[in-house]
Amino acid sequence: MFGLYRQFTLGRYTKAFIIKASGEASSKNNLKALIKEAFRKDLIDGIIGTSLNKKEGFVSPVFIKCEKEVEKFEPFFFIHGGQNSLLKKITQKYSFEKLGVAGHSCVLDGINKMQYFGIGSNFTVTKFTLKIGIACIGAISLEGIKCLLKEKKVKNPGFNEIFLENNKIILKNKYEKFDFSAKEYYYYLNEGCKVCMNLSSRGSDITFVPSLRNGYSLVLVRSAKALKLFENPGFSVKKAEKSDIEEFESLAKNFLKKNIETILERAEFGIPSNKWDGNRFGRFTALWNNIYAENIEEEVF
Amino acid sequence: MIKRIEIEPIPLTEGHSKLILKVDKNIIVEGFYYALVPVRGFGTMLLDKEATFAPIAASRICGMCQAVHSIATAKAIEDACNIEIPETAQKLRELISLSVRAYNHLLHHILISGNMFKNPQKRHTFIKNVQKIRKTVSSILETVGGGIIHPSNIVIGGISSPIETPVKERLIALIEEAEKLAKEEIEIFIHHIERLWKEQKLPENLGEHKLPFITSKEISNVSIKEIYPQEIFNELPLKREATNTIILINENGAETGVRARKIREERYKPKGGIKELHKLRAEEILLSLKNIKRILETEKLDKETRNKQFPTSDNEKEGVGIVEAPRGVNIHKVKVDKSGKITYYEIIVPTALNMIAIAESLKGEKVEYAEMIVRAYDPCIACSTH
Amino acid sequence: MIYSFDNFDKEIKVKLGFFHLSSCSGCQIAFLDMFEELPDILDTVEIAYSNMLTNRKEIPKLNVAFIEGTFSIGFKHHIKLIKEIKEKADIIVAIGGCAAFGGIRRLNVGAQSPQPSHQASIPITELDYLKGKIKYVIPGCPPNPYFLYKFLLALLELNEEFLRPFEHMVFSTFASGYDILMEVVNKGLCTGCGTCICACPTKALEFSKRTQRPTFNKLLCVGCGSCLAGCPQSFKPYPQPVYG
Repeated sequence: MFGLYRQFTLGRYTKAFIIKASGEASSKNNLKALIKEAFRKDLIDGIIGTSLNKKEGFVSPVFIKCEKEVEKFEPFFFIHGGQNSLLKKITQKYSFEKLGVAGHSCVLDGINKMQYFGIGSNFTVTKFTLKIGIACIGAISLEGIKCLLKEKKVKNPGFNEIFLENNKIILKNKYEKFDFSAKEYYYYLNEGCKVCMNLSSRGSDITFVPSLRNGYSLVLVRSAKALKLFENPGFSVKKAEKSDIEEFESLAKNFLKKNIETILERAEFGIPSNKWDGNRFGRFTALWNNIYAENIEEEVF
Repeated sequence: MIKRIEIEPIPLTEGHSKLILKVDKNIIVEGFYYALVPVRGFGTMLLDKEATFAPIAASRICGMCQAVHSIATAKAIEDACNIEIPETAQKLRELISLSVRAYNHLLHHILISGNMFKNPQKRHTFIKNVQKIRKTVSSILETVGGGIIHPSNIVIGGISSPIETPVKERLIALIEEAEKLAKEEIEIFIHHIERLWKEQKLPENLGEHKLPFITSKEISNVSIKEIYPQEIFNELPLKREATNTIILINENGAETGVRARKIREERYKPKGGIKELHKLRAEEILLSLKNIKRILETEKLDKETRNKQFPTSDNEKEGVGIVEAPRGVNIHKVKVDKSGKITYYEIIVPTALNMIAIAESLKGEKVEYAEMIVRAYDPCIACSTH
Repeated sequence: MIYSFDNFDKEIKVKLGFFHLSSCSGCQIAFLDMFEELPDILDTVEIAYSNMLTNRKEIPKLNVAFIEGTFSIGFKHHIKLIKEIKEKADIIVAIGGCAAFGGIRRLNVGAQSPQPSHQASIPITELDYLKGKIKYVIPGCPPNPYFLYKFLLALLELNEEFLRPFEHMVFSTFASGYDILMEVVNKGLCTGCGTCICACPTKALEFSKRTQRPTFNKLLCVGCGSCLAGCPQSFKPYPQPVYG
């Protein structure tokens, strides 16, 4: 009995909002507004994220130390950029007391694991206060994006934005918008993301979905702390409609189904997905079949 | 009649070591102190390895005085390869070695507290106090060095990351807090040392010796000779048991470490004995913290800190890196060839220097004080069996 | 229950011992570097033997013996010590890269004065004599004080979920940065999050912006096993934090 239930695809959340920043309507601006709000409400005093460096054409991790620096921040979704490699330096050298992170599920997995076991970074890692998860349909490399655009015979591949709209993945540059279906996009996905079962960044305080619908992006609130962000915020906020949530859910389902296929394929060939627990696939199916009984939040694949 | 007494292990010291004493009517006539940890082979491990690996390996010689070994090896390789390092990096290295000094002396207080307190609860309270300062000192090490136990920021050509002004300000605030705590801690420590001497009726000049003192400033003007245990001992098992070499300065022993530094830098007149050593070590904690603060307040540390020149040399020039470690003079000598490989490596550690000082201090003292005398020198067995 | 303490009684503190074979003492210092958390732990555990911290020459009966450093083959003090620990300790934990995987001691070639014959060094996990006695392995050079703190807590609470991966690691007798390439990058599980770079204590792993993958410089690796243990793709039977 397989079922892709909402608790699994989206994780447990208490409230869902749609938010829109003032100015140009784009999902990255909406995320920036959210981060600015966190600075303003003193929830964080620094945050790490990944930013597009247009000059070099790389996506690299950045550390934002104050609200002013958020302006220069160019969040680029679905590329991780080695965000966690900054952690040691930040926690050891700068020793911030209230650290935030805006990252995809695997970045948060790394941080959650570090917090749980303590491998990698010292006591300072306990200083994370706000985790903004970014819903991710799978990472793609910049080369992958290039190839995608070449497939469509796009001549000017300069782009600075990626987001979800109408069940499609949109790449945007100054002049044009290109859209890709899930199927087209999936081919160029990072191999590691094809076995991911945590598209909605379950281990976070708040999940930001990089979608755009009439200028609004979906946000799933998971903790009481994150709810503070929505008290008299500097951006316009509305309660999410059923259709808003369903739109992302159906896209996530689409990707999850493909990922399950990949996992089964790996299992057939005995390619491990987990070193320590050879029976990972067994665990996976056991849990899958007991979806009603087990608390999905507790299990991560 | 002369008896032979063996004491093994020596608790409340680092590593595994042994004392062999020749005793006449409970008075030590001759004493030897030596290491029993296998030779760890860092000298030969580095041969024919790339020079860039040396600071990382050298840091793992010892878990207590880690950074001074990294700095010494980096200095030696820079010397051999004629690499000039930026002034900021020099200052940062000084900062690291000063914090290692304070960190180590405090660690020694924790070890020695096992001797000072009979009541475990009282010892616990004392340790708690020391831990507070160690925490602040270690955060300086972590910030500047990139790690507490094996700092990774020390590289050939400097330090891998500078200290920006806001970070510096935070460090100054930390050091001010540490200074306050250290003043109290030192008072408590000295009080307990005095109490210990009174309670156990220990002689004031316990562990006196007549050896000269040596610091890193005059080490280049003296003759250094390494002798093996095979030369010292007459009996066979001892020849093959001892795992440390002993360093002779001008064909004689010498004491290095905190007392030698005090004599050289402040023209201090030593009274002799291990009680003085304990007190001077405690006082040096505050001095190191003050020096750290001075560097932080007066120097600009946000400039270029690394010279990225690749380390190569002619295989002729012997590079020497001398660092004043917590326990005394620490020397690394190296030769590097054209391809950047190490062709010769030699390490001289302070504990190997102090072995003779320990032996001399033991002479003429009662047997029951032997362990206490050894502990006062804070020997580091891991270093001496590098 | 994974292991049992002899005569376990709530009144009696769990007795810990720290032992030092061929190593730098850094792991023991890391234990001391827990600073303020250390007194909390000392309420429930007792450091019954440590050459650095206790004024004791005989090894008492222990519940957990933490051993750091490699075993030097043919070195009679180590043979004596290992025999004694096996007899007196309920379980052994190999702490740090050297004891667990060989660490930097794997590069040891001996031939150094004054005892050139001290050339053979192996991690204690390779000793058949201690099979079954070594329950857990703690990777890292040195392990983080915070990690040690969490580990001790888990040991006291018998938190199997936490301890399981470290129980499995007993069977790996070698570790290096190649692990991250072999088990994660090669197997197509790397997502480019950069956690291994943060875990590496020697900067042998660095992040390549162009490929979005870790690059491994084998020259600088000391084989401590931190990188794979830190990687979120290696093992994650950990509960996600629950937010209130």
